[in-house]
Amino acid sequence: MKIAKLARTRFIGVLLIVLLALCWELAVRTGFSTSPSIPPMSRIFAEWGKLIVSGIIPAQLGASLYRMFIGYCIASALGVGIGLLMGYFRFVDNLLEPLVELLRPVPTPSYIPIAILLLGLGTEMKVFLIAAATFFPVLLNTYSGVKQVDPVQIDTGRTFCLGPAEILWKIILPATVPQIFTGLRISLGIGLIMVVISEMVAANSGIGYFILQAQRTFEVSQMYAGIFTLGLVGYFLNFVFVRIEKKIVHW
Amino acid sequence: MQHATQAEAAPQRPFLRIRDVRKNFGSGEHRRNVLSGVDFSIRRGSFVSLLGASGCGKSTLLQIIAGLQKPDAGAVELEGRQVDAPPFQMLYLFQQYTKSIFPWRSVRGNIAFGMESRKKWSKQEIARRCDELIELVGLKDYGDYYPRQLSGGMQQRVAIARALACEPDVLLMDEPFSAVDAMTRSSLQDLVLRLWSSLGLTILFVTHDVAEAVYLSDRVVVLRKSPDNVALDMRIELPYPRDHLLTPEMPAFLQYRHRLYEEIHHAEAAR
Repeated sequence: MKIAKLARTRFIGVLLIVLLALCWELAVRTGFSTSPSIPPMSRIFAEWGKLIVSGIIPAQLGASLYRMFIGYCIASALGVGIGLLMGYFRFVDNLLEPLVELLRPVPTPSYIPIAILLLGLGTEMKVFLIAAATFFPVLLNTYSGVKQVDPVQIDTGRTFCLGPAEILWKIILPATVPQIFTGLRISLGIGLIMVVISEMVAANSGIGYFILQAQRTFEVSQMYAGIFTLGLVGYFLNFVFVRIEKKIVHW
Repeated sequence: MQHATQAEAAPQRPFLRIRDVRKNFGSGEHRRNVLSGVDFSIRRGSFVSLLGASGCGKSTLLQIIAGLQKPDAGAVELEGRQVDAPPFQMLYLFQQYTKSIFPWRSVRGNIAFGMESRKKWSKQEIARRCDELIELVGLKDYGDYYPRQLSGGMQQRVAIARALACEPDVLLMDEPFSAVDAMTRSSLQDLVLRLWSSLGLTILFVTHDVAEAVYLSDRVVVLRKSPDNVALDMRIELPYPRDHLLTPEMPAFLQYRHRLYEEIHHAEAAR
């Protein structure tokens, strides 16, 4: 009876995670797995706790989030702005659409060598890569959002004698906000991926650097702790994002 | 019918003049003639219904009058000036009011929408006028509601209030009540009649409902498919204020309805 009730809540999902962690722990403890690359779960957690308390993970995470935030903000502003203009003005669409379609399929990591050559190994290179990767989902979702605005809404603006700029600002933009948020949410995940990749390529701080460094120094538990941190951060970022989205897109 | 007249006795400069308006849709093989030389004038302060079966081009004509579409030939003149873009004095109310009012704005925000972009009123004046209009269209206590929380009839009231907020001389209404239930429709009809007479509006009202056209208007223009779009132009000499119980029982009402119904039926049969 009780279990049937619990099965209808999220609790069952949390239970699965605990169960899997226990399996992991048992697999190592019983000698089922003897690989030095798989430490027991309890040790990973103990290590993680230490790294949090000592401030090492928070510091590394801070560096990563800072880079991600800057790149993401630049990309979001550009993506929304250009997406609105491309969606609304035929001329801008004709001008930029071929270029966008050419650049969009290029996997961002393939720009890493160029980025290093042009921007060096520092923050600029990472911010550029993050921005490049998060730009297109925002752009494309904004663009298709504008295309989906009901002509009746635009004509409503026209009958009230609004000019094109006012129609863009007061009708197209708010009407497109739900799709813009979809793009922003997709980009948030991509931003996290890209910050880790860029830090694994060249960095002396950040969570990506931390994970790679742990592997190189055979601090296997720390490596897992870093990955676990990323899982938590990704979950938390999305959680906060969805909250903000619900607040803004309330209709 | 003794009341059927052709055009009105031409004054020096008609208030709203629809001059030989022509419109085609599509091109090449698919080219379809929708309006071929529609020509009539409307006096200030009149309530004119454009009545016709669906597909006769009445909505297209209304959009051309509103300046939302361009005619292929001919012109619309408001007080002698040609309408090339939506003019300030004229507002178009959409049939799809659910799409026309903005879901991200509250009732108050929607009503303020038109006023905000006309630099005629201060912020305080806009707020005060919003309150007045909310009261006027019977939405008191709903000012902070959002469209999704309102019924269809209430949404249409918001659209009407939003238009009136800009103090237009002319309202162009495209089948505004075709999507609401009969009860709501009659109360909205009376609301529009009351606003029309108290605010001195000129209303052009597109409908395919014969009884609605007779009940509301002082003139009905029957449209049919191109060519020769204007099938009948008829004055409705029923006394105002009109009443949902008394007016439809008047013999004249029934005669008007009969005549218009015949005309539309005739136009349909001739297709």
